[in-house]
Amino acid sequence: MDGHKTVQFFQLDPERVPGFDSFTSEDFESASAEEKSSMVQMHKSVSYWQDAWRRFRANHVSMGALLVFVLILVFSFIGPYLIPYSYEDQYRSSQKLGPMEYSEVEQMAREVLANGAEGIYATSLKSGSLTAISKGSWYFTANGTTYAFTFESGVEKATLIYDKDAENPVYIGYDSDYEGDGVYSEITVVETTDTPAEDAQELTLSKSVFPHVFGTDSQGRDLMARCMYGARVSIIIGVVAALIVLFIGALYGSISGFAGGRVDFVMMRIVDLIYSVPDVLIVLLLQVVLKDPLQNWFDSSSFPLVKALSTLGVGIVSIFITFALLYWVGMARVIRGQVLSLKEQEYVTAATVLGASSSKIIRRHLLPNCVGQLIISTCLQIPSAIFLESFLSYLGLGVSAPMASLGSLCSDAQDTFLMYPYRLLCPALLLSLIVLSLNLIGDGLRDALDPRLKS
Amino acid sequence: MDLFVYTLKRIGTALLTLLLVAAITFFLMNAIPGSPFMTDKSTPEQIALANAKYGLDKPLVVQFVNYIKNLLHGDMGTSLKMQQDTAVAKILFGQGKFRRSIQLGVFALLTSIIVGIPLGCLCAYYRGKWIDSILRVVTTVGIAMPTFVIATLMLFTFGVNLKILPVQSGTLDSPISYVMPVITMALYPSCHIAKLTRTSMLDSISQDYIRTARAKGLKTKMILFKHALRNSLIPVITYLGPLTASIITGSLVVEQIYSIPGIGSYFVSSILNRDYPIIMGTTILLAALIVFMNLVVDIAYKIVDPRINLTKKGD
Repeated sequence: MDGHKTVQFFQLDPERVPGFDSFTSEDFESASAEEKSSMVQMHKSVSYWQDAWRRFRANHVSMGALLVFVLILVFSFIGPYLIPYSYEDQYRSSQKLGPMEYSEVEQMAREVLANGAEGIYATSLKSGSLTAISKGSWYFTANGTTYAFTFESGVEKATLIYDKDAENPVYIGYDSDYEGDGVYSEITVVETTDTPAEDAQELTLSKSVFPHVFGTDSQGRDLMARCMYGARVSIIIGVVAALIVLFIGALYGSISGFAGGRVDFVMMRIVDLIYSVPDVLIVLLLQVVLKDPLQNWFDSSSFPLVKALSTLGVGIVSIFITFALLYWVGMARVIRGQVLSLKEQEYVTAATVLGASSSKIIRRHLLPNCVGQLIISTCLQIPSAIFLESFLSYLGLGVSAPMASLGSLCSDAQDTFLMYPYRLLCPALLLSLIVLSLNLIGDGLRDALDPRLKS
Repeated sequence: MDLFVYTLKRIGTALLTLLLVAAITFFLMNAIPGSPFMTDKSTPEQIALANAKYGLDKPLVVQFVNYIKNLLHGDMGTSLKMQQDTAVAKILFGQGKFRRSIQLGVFALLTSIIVGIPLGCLCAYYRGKWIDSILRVVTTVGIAMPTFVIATLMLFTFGVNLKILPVQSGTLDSPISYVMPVITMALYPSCHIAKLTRTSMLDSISQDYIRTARAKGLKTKMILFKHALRNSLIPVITYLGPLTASIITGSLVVEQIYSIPGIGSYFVSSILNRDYPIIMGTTILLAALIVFMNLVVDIAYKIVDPRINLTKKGD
């Protein structure tokens, strides 16, 4: 092959090349890999998501909202594991406390701790204590010694304090007048033994009394624990309702848009009809109608999924059903509009020519291309679902006790607002923050995922 | 002519929607298990007697057809339980209840338009300036606050602590008793309208005819308020339908908190009491308002923007 190579020679005219004489032989050495790469003009390819994330990050308001929302998520999903109070336990001596206030028992415990006690176990502070009492014997370990003890009969509620310098190392304070005003009344010495009974329950002594950050309600339930729980319920309702809307709306909209013609016309008239039905009126009615049948269904069925649903409660499940029936129409319209323009693209024609079925085209080609719209609409659907739930809970429908949502917490606090304003303000502020941050994140996502719509 | 045909068609759809709402409500409320007359003490005979008296023993479809027939004659039936044997029309329209709710709703609607559109214009005019930033924050926060929270906060701030507005609006005899309920109901919609106006103003500012107007040498104010505003009001008009629905929703809460005797309270209480004719009465009344508003909006939309061909199929 070498022999056939034709090589052309050029005669350079030194007169016409500036600086010809200054060239040295080094200038004609082949370039190193580094030098070559520095000349490359191409950038690393940026995927759609990287690009969107870059745009989203540049939006300070949305990033702030995202941060706030993540904090709220941490507060409501991880928070309950960090505080010693539970949302449903009623702490008898700590009713109607203001934010950061301590009940008498808790003040006593704090005093003893401040005077050098090693730890406390306060049954009036911590959940699960009542079952422990029925077992009759508890034990705990402190400074290498195991202390096991039983209560005198008749003690229903007690605060246990360990103080190693005291004459008798363990004290127990309890309410003798339990049914009365529930006031901490006396401290009794507890008999201690070194060998716990077999079914005894171990207690972990705590070193401090955890404050009621948001105060407590009139039943002595910790408001912060209830707010965490309520926020969790509200967020879950919002997300699940939005996913239901996403699923039904995307399916309906894409089929309608892809089929086109008469099918599209009929399907869209149905959407129009549902759209003009006054939703709140039907929602209220549905809540009442679904209550008994759902309860019966939950009670009779042993199917695992139904069991899982029944733990959510009738109110929440009927909210989901309502969303599945009425709220998907907005999403269906958006997706139909997208699909109508996307289906004219060449790649759809190509897929059709290659023999792809309609469902495959919708699933593999059309819906993935609407993903931006899907995400934006779903994100903006969540706050509206949370709003609807709080509205229903406020009217006494929706979530029922002992469960709490932010709406039902606000509703509970309404009557006593003048005396205890923080009971309304805490859940209301949390609710507003969730809705606000989700709205701002949704706006940011719209700008990031669909730059054409940027306002 | 096109408009006339369209209007007729649209009225047809509106009536169909109303009928659909009536049917859904009717069959849904009858799907609640048990009888409305069931109490702890009632015997099966008493229930059967009461059912026969109010015609509840007939098949559902017959009951529904009868109800619609009576409704077309202006008869909304009589209450079963809440105010037994009183005509539903008298319960809902008597003592100015309906008038009061409508007045509140209309005031709230007007307030939200009168406040919302100028705020939106202000934002668009001062785009990127501090006025725009502040108003955007305010409107975003306004959208994120539930009505019942706003109502309670207002009640306790202005009514109880500052004592400048009456705590109970009651029968709305004095003009000042309108202030708090109307503001509460109008807050969310006016924030929404302000956002809508801002977005669509900014959208129309980037259109070619605005560039033309600028090239002609018109003043910015003139361009904004004469050329841009008119065209950017179309999305706002479309929002008036959902706006009516949201104001009615708000009125349920507002009438309860400010203890105003209107028809909103009957809605929830009739459902909880299972007083069938009152449920039907309130639902149809409120649905008719919303459907009528949607109808007006659609026709207005057609008149305002003649480019839109609404009779075209499938779009």
